[in-house]
Amino acid sequence: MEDFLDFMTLREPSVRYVVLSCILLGAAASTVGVFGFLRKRSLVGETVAHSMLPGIGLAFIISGSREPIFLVTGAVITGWMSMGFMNWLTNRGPIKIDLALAITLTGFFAIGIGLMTYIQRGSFGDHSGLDHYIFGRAAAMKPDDIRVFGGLAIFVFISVLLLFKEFMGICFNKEFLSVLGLPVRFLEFAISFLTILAISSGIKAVGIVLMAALMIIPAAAARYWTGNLRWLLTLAIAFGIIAGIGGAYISFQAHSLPTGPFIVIVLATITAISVVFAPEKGLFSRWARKRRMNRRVAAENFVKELYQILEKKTEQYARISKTEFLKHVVYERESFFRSLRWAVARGWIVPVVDGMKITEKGLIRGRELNRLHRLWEIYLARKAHTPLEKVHHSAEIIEHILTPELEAEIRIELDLCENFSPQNEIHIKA
Amino acid sequence: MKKTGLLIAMCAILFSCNTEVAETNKDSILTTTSILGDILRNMVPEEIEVINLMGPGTDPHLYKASPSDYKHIREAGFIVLAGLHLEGKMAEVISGLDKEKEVQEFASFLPKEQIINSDGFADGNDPHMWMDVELVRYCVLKLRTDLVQWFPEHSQKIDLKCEEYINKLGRLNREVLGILSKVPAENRVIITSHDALNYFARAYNYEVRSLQGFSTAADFGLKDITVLVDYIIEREVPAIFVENIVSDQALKAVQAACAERGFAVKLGGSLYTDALGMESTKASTYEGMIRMNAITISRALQN
Amino acid sequence: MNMDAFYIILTGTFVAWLCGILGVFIVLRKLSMLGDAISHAVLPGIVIAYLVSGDRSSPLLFIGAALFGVAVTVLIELLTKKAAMQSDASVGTSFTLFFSVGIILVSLLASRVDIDADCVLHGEIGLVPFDRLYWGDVDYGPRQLWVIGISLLVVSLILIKAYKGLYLTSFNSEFAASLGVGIAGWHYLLMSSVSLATVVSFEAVGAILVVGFLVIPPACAWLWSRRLNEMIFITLAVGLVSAVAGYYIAVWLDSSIAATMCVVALLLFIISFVVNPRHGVLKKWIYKPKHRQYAPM
Repeated sequence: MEDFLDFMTLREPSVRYVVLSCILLGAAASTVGVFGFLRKRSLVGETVAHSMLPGIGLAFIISGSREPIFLVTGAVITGWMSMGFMNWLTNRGPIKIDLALAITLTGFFAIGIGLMTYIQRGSFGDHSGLDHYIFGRAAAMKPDDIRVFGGLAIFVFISVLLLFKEFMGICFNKEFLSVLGLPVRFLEFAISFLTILAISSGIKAVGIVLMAALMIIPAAAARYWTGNLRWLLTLAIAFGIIAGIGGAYISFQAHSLPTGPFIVIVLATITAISVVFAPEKGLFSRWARKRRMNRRVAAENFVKELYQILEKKTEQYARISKTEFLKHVVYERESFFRSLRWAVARGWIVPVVDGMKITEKGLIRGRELNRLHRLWEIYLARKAHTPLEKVHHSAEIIEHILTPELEAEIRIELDLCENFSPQNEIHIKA
Repeated sequence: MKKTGLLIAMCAILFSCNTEVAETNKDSILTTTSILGDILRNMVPEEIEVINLMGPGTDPHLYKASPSDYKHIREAGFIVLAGLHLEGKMAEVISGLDKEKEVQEFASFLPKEQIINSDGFADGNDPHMWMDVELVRYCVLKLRTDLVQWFPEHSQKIDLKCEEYINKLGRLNREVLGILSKVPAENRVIITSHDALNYFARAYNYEVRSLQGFSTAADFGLKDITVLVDYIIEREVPAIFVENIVSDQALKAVQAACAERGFAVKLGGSLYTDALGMESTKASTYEGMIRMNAITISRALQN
Repeated sequence: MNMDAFYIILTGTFVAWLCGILGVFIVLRKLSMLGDAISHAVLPGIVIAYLVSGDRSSPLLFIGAALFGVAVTVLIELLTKKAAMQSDASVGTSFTLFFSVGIILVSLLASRVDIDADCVLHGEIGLVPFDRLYWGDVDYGPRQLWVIGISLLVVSLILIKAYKGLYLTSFNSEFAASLGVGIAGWHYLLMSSVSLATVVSFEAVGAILVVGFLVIPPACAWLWSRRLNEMIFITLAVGLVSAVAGYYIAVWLDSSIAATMCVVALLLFIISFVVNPRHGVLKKWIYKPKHRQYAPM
């Protein structure tokens, strides 16, 4: 417990450096990542990060020094060029974004390696690990980093706040924006600029893979919870921050638990939870809906069958015994009792001694289902020219999902009057 | 069908080979790391050329070979590797050439007990044995025999040069001991970001601590940093050391944390571990490198 | 040319063909970043295999890498199909997760060992002529060449058998589904083949060349033709030229052979992109569409 409080109060300076840096970077990276995600170019972080290698090499050759300022400048320049290259490929030609990303990544990185070999051979001074030199570790943050990320975060947030609608427009409907007279190229430039800024500051501190993860995963996880863009952004930022704190906390517990990778683990866990438990899009929710649907369909089929038996009788609320029911339609034992239970739960049937009785609600629904079934059969037969043997099967399914509005539309299509009742129409044999 | 034919034709043209056979370079030795290169140069007379693949400042782990290097490898008759798997894949492949060439591994002459190993892994050997001058002397002595065997025409000169070098290294060792003994006992701890100085520490009776192991892929966590910061403050370590080939990000972070907690640990200077320094510097030879390290450490830890 | 050069070029060509023919299908399925993803995702497999075998040169490392290569493609599929995640996000999430697990394993368990993923991943094509296959005392040639050659043969055979299925499911998966063709089966077959082929190639020539040959020649091909058999042919041709020209240029520049082969492929792609009459940038000047005759209604 004391350890936890120790951590939370950020008493230890290293803890404070790491937690604050990760929060700020996480927030900035997730924000920029949302736009990448929406434009289906999540992996731009990975590509641009690799494309920075030639820039680092050139900067080293030209400046002769390993000072971060030179290397980062070089990195930003080639990173920028790589984005331009990607855009050229996708805009001017039939190349899809994923292919453009892969080509750019390989091409620029290969050029970078070529440069590294060249540097290695010459007498350029201490050049070792230039490529690794610029890739930092999340656990090694200092006060300077907090300032850099703070600046980055502020800049990103202000830009996004001011240009939120425009950025969203770029993501979804560029042509519309240009019709409106908005400067599409400038806006694309702005988004690219923010992306490069985030990536270059990020990889210097925490390395390529963590940066790529921060730009992809929060947005992907947030998408399961909402389709609303503002909420998407907020949630992505929240996830980025939680992961930053969580990863730092875990790596504080014992030796040799690297911070960056654990941030990714936390992100992955959040994603897993989102995938399974998010309402509507989550797996659990979909499973629950499917289950509800299956039960409804079973209950409806049951009450429909009961209705069909009662149709032929004089007294509508007559008691029907189980045996009689089973003469009309075949049910397996388990299935019979389950469907009966579900129909009872919906108030369509009441169980009585040695049998069941339909209720008024049940009667109405049964009649309705019957009608919809016949209606669909007629529709298929007349409009889709489906052979008579096939219409029943389709109607068995469709009857459960026809809404009153759809029914009305179909009636109009078929020219049927309001009082259509199955008996009055040509009876189609099952 | 036409297309396949075209493809075959292309292949035929491109692969029309007249096989040349590579000539073996008689009076030369091929070495991998810059450190090895310097050592070997001191062991053989001028008549034998020492070709060194990795120039100064090159991290052996990240070395990318080029076509001229492969040519050297192909033409070499006598190759000296560092041993203990330092050059990774390249070491493995070159070792496999021992049917046609003479391949020696410098560190392989060491008896097993001398090799620092981490428990549990048969392969967990620390390759940085050159940081201990005595071990290098020992290996030079052993390697001399193989050199004399391989270059019989130059055997006298080789013997002479090796003898000189062994003596030189002996003097170097004593010099280093002298320099390092100036540091008071309670300050004798070397802190770097990655494990390259185990042999050095063992030889000269220093303690050594680092953030990550010898693997370049391993990463350290927040706990490792905070524990190191605690240690530095508690022990009142005067300085911590950067290496010439590894980023100083982690050490600067440790320094900042110590400073905030009231202890101003210095960055003691850059140590040469896996590669020699540039030609113009004092660390461009093996002796220079060891001497510079000793001086750097000694100066920084004396206050 | 000398034998060393011959072996290097031949290996490069085989890798280009092995990755290229698989790459055609990968590119058509819009999974071009898969090669890069696999190169990162195999790390935990290597580490675990190392921990189990205790030996850095054990073949177990390759098997570990291959298993995790397949595992990551399975995860990507699950996320894309079952969890309805965008495919680029699935790829990104999966490989960063696997890679992070790998780093954690190395840091926790093997930090005292120099287990660079380099041992398996960053093969070096220039070393191929030196690494020979010996049976008894007989030198059968470069080991990697045999490995890649056999892989190429196996993959070619698989592709010939699977051609129709892959063809359908690559170009029009809805149509294939409506025909009852088992899409999932072909997809997993393809993914497994890609994982194995890439891991095998990583060890021979390094990740950068593998990823490059996986996407760039097929991308070239796609600019010139939309017919699958033509695409494959062009991919093979581009791969061959890249390997040969790449080698000679690398020798001339004295630069990394793999990187140069990649750059040559890239140049061929850029030239195609600019010059291609149908899609290229210069099409305004080159392409003269035939005037269509409209049939009277």
